[in-house]
Amino acid sequence: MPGMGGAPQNGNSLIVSAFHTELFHQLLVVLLIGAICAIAFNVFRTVQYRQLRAEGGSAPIVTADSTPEPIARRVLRIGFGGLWILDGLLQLQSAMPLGLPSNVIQPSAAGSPQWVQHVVNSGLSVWTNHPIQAASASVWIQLGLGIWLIAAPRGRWSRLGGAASVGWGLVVWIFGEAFGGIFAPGATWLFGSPGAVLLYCVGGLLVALPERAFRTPRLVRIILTLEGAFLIGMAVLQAWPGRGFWQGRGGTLASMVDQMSRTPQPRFLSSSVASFGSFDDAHGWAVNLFAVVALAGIGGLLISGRRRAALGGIVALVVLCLADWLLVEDLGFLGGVGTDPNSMLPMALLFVAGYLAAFRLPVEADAPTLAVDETTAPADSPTTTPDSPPVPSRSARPTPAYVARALAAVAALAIVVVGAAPMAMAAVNRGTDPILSEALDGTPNSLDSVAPPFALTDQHGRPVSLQSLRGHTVALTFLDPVCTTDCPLIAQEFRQADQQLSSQGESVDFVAIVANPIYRTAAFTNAFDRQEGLTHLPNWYYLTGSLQTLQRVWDSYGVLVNTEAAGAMVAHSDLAFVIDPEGRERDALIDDPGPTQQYASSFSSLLLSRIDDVVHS
Amino acid sequence: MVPAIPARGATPPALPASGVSTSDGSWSTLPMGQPSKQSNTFWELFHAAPGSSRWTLVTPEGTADNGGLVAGVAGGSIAAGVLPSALLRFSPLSSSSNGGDTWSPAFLPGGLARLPDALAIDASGAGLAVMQDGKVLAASKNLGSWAPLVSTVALRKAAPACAVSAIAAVAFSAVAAPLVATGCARSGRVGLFSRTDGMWHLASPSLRIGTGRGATDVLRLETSGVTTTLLAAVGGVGHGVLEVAWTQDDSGWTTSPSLPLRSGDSIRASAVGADGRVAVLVNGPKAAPAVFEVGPGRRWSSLPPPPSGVAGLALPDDALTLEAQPVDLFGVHGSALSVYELTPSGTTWSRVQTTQAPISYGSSS
Repeated sequence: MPGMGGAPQNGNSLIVSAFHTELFHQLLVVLLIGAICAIAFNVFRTVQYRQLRAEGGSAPIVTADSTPEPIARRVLRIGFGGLWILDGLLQLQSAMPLGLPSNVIQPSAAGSPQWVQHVVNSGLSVWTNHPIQAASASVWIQLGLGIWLIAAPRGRWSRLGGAASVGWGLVVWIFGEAFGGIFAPGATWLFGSPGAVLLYCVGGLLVALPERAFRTPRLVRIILTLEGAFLIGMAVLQAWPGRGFWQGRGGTLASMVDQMSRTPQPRFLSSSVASFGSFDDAHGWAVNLFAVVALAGIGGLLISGRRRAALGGIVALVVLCLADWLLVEDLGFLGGVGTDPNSMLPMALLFVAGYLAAFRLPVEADAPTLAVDETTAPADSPTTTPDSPPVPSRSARPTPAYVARALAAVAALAIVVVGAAPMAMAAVNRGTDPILSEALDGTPNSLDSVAPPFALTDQHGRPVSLQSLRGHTVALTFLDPVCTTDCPLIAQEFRQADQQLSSQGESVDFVAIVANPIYRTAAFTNAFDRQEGLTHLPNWYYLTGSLQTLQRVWDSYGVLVNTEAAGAMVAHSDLAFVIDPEGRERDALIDDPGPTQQYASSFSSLLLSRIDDVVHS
Repeated sequence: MVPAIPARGATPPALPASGVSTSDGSWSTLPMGQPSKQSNTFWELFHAAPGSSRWTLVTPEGTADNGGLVAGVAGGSIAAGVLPSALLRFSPLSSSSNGGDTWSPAFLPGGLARLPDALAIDASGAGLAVMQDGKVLAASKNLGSWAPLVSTVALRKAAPACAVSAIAAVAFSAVAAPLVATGCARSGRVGLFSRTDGMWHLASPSLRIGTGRGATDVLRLETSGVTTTLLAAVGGVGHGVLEVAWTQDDSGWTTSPSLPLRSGDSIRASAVGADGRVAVLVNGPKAAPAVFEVGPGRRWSSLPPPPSGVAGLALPDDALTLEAQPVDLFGVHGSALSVYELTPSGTTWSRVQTTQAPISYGSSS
């Protein structure tokens, strides 16, 4: 009935069940990938063993790589790999398919300029139209990226993992974080500017660099200087007058913290954030002064280039990050629909890695990375080239560990594809998944009974009966021609379904019967058709008749029509039926168009699928 | 192409509440429910029979009227038109000749303009309607078949001396001739048009109001019996004056003194009585609402400050005594209506009636 529709809750059982089913199916694919990799690994071991036996049983010799992976790179790779895995696991939350747009993305974009919201909405529609595919894709893409970064320590595979991390990170930063809120008026380092995932991108970019970059003092010094300059820039932003950060109660930071403390989350977190909020209410000026001085000071220490100063700055920054993570960002992922641990962990990770790159040059390592057959390994094997990671030459035999990691990287890539493929398909599919409509209105009721007959008059004054439509599939609904909300939307769903039928449309009729006991003449049905752009559809019939006749049809189809007093529109059931060419009811659907265009579009997809079933049965 | 869908809850310009009385009864339209949210604002029509001091809810059923409700009254008959709102683009009409007890639907091809007097009828069942596209349609009988009567463009050409800004109201004259009122950009002119020999012309070329104060706009145009009443704002609502003009039997016009408006004032409601009296409820941006009344041959009088929540007013006649009654004020709190009348001392308002409208909140969401 008009006014009765509302959005399904985040935990809608149908959506959650479909999400879990999708994840389970994809898990089976992932397990299959794992099994194939395990078999490949065993095949490799067996082949290698037989070769060794055939060559006289000489055992492979483990060589030491003289150029181990730079520790800064290793920290970045493992750190951001772990964060991607955590983010992927957080995407498993049941509320994610329906909750992410309304609880995370839209609040992130609120307050940003119109063009930012336009960009975000263009990506958001992919998620809202296909919530199951999008949510499950995010799980596998992020788990895959994390595994990829951790499993592939060296070489092109590893750098490719870094590049993939940058690519997906940018997608999340733009569409999920609305550019990290940097264009919103309250952007501040304390609340995660310039966006947690942008830091993932920077981490991925560094991993994607050739390893020799980490051994170039000038480059790492530039990185450290950029980090210092970034902090000083954030300090200036924090100190900028007129942005409300110098104000205590009612100021920008106090309001943000207050809002954050109200997010559903564990009590210890909300009380910590609320305590800091109270403190900021009372001492807002001092808090901001501390933040400005701390950021500028740490930035200055990093730019100084002196090891002790930089170390002091890094320690101070890590402490500041942890404090902010707890007191301002509420750890980011234990409340609401948390998608990541927010910006402070990746921030600390990046800065620590920057320090390590600048002041902890890689030492000679004894980590075995590659085994070669000493009889075949050439003296100038690429494994000994300083700027290049160890890659087995054609004559070299890779170690089992190398092969295991390579296979793990391939498996990780495959896991990313398990997520990315349906996400890409969702992005190009402009329709909306029927499951949204089913979540809102329930699944269609399959029927197999004779459809109640009717004999009415169409919008052109011609008699139309169900009998006269025999031989055609009929999509039937009940519309109020002077309805202000639902009926025009339902008419548009029928129109959309009609247009998508293309050639099949010749054997399908779309029929509406007036659901208003007062405004029911052909003048009103014609006006409704003109209003909704239905006049040119040859297979559209808007039928009416005497009140007695209409009442009989309403009753026979179980449609309630009630006239309401005091300026309310007529209340009627939002019901649709699919009737087969033999005149039998095959489906009964609730066609409440829901709160947004996505739900309306979803119903037309659902209706189309039911019509398609009947046409092809 | 899918028709553009306006944002739900978008608030159109405010439509003032209006009241009109004839010797056969009084009618008043006013918004109730939640005024901050259009989908929960429902316009209600109340009727008081001649000689009765009780107001009865008679809002026509069958469609949502969140966009506004306008009425045209002639003797004991009324036509009510619903303004388009949300996804509805045309205006369902209803008419009644028994005090709103029963209604008959009527079709109007398009949306009524957001004006208190966008709809007019005469005793024979003919109708006039100001449409959103700046045209006036006319129906000859029973509001059944509408045809174009005149447009803003045509009136602009007909009277360059007025410099027509927009059509503001329609009415039938005492001799059942169509009258069309417009705003005039030319200072002091009154845009009131009638038709002779198929040609539109200014009905009162000599009528001047608020001379020297700027453009004029017609807020109300009503005919009751032999009296046609025109309420005009001169210099624009919010920084000008209000004046009323009357004519008896379409003869000469008389005008009221000017009522100065404060900066930012807006007319929230107005009522026209059967004897030509006019009452207005003025809302200021800072000052408390105020009620003023004027009648033919009288000055504007300021009535005591209205109670809180007043959203409309009416000027009923007492058919038994044939005397003009004081102003009735309508206080609205959600779905509750309170009717106030002046105490005998004339210094305060007392509540004389309360009633509930069975509003279906959420039904238009």
